[in-house]
Amino acid sequence: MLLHSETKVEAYSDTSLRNSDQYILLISLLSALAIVLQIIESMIFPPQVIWFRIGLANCISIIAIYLVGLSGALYVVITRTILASIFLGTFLSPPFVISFLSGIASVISMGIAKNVFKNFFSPIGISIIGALSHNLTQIAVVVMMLGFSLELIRYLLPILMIGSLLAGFITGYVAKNVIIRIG
Amino acid sequence: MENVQNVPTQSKLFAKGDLLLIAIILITAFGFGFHIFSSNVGNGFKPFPTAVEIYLSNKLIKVLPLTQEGYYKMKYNNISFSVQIKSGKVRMQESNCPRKVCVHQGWIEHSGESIICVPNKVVIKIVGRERTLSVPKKDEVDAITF
Repeated sequence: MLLHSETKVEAYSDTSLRNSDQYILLISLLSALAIVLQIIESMIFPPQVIWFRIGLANCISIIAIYLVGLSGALYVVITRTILASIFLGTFLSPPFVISFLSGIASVISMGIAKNVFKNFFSPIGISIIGALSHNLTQIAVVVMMLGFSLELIRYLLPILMIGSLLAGFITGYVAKNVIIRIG
Repeated sequence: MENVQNVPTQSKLFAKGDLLLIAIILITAFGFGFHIFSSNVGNGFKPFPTAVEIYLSNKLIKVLPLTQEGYYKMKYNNISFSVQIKSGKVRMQESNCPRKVCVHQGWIEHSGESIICVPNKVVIKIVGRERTLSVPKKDEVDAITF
């Protein structure tokens, strides 16, 4: 694999290694995986029919945070949202704006949660934080687009919170096993 | 592998923080969502009671609560009509317009429904939360699917 047993997983947090080939290769590999996962997921759960997704691409964001750090994960998520929306044909449309902003917000909150509370959270907890902040940003963007409505918050927020718990658990469980095996 | 930091071990499914986080999210979600389960109790959940709005040539001239039963006669210049409210329904009881389409329309009861009298430029409109949402009536079907 890319990561040899001698290589430190956290080595890419040092700024000196940011320009190494392995770092760039890892980011592009993770981006490609995330794009494929997002396209496959939009085929399994077509967004026109099912408005709830488990966010398989979020899995890659968690793995990226553990492998290449917060800034690398930001590269991955920006590449993923832009390229996947171009492939799906939703570039610069409201779903793209929502997924772009909430993807960035979820990666930033996951990175902060991981860097501040070192071992307090396992990848499952970090994934739940990411899913929750993704959903909250989604609501915030929708409120900015369509205007505030109390009904939206009252009925959607509890459902989305429980949903993000489930989705975060699934993606976090997958990400945890991947990180254990390749880390 | 010992010098690698923050990589989880396989032994436990959850770390301490995960359980705390899950507990906090569950408590907050059920706290926010409490009204979903308790919305059938009483009418306190309504944002404002259902009301009847009466417009005359695009101007709101009267707002009546749908619970207040009775006849309301109104006269403006050469326009006169009377509105009857009874058991949560409203109708145009009489009107001095030529064809009396508004009178023949009968009772309306759901939020969003309206009676429109074109010659007199009178609009009677029901606004507010649907009454059947909080107090379901018997022998009434919400929807039928096949």
